[in-house]
Amino acid sequence: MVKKALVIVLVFCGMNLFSQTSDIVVKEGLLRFQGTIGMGKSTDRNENNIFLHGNLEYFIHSFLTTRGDTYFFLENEENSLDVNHQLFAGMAYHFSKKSNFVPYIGIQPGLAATRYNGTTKTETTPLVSAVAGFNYFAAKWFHLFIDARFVSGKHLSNLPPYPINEIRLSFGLGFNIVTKKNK
Amino acid sequence: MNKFILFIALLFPITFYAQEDIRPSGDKKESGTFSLGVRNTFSTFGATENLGVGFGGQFRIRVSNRINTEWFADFINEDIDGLATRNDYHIGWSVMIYPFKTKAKLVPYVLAGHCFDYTKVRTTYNIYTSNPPQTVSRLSSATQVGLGTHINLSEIVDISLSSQYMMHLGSDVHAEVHEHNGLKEIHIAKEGHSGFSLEGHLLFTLSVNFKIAQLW
Repeated sequence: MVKKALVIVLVFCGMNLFSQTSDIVVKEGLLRFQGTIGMGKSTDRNENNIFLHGNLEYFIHSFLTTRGDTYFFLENEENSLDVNHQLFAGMAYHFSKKSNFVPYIGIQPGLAATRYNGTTKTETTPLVSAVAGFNYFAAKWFHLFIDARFVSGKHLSNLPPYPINEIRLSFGLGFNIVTKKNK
Repeated sequence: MNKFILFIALLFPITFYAQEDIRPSGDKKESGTFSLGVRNTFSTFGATENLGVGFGGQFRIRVSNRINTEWFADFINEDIDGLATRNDYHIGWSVMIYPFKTKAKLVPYVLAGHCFDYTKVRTTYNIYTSNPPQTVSRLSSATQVGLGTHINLSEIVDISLSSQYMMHLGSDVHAEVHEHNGLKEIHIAKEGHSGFSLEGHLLFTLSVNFKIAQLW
């Protein structure tokens, strides 16, 4: 999965050269949102997770955003948890002001609803997470994105503790709306 | 106890900056701002010597240029050596005092406040000892004091880092890990039925805050 991610990132890096434009999309008041599939790789065991990933982000300034992310867990055969839905809220710092290729980093505290496979009680698990990635605002209405995240947490119940540390990757097409008139 | 005395000693130099005439003053009124934020809280140096990780939120109402108030709620999870789980629910408030310049990228502050909390410790199921799972809980109040700094990313957004020592007053949930026949076992009990007891821990908080309104 890491190799695939590297290939995707390298392909997208070329966009930086084409994204120099006078028509900058990222401005204060821009609202972006997306729905996609997220892939996660556990850092503690050989286990992969699949999520439906939704995201909403508002540009408070051209370089700072407030963002919220939801991950709806889709269980597969190799998972030890059958519930692992996650919710994050926080901020991101966006680096580029002169280009529509905009890398970012951010922090997002979060919460997960987690449950061991075969048990009935769902637990609440606090999460620590950091995000990094980029958006390529190809047009006024849509953008391409790659979003990587590190999540750290531990599912605690009346069974032995179960770390849910994970590196996650999402990519795809997102949409953006200008909510403020240009000054 | 030594940690607590050291912590108080570290706060003493702040008195030098508390003299009104040497305080720098900002030129813009900042009172009345209302901020909303989310946070991760890490609980350390508690009775069980394990790390607790928490999620929470807070809002702030700034009452003057030099004084801010923070109203928070946290949910903290702690794994006690794989043998038990501790859940802490905190709800409380802190007053934040800015002894230095308030218009800067880094704005340090001193904080103090009160907190109410609910603590629950559950033992995990152990196939070797076959002890039945046990749960102990308590309600308590606490007082906290600490230091922190805002990292102002813009006029609206800041990241805040703080450390605070929180002292709980109430019955204590005591968890003791010991070895029996080469196996780790845990004993949990609620103590202090006949009186009060003190229990403290050091909290580190990382929060992201957005100023969303000017109340006055």
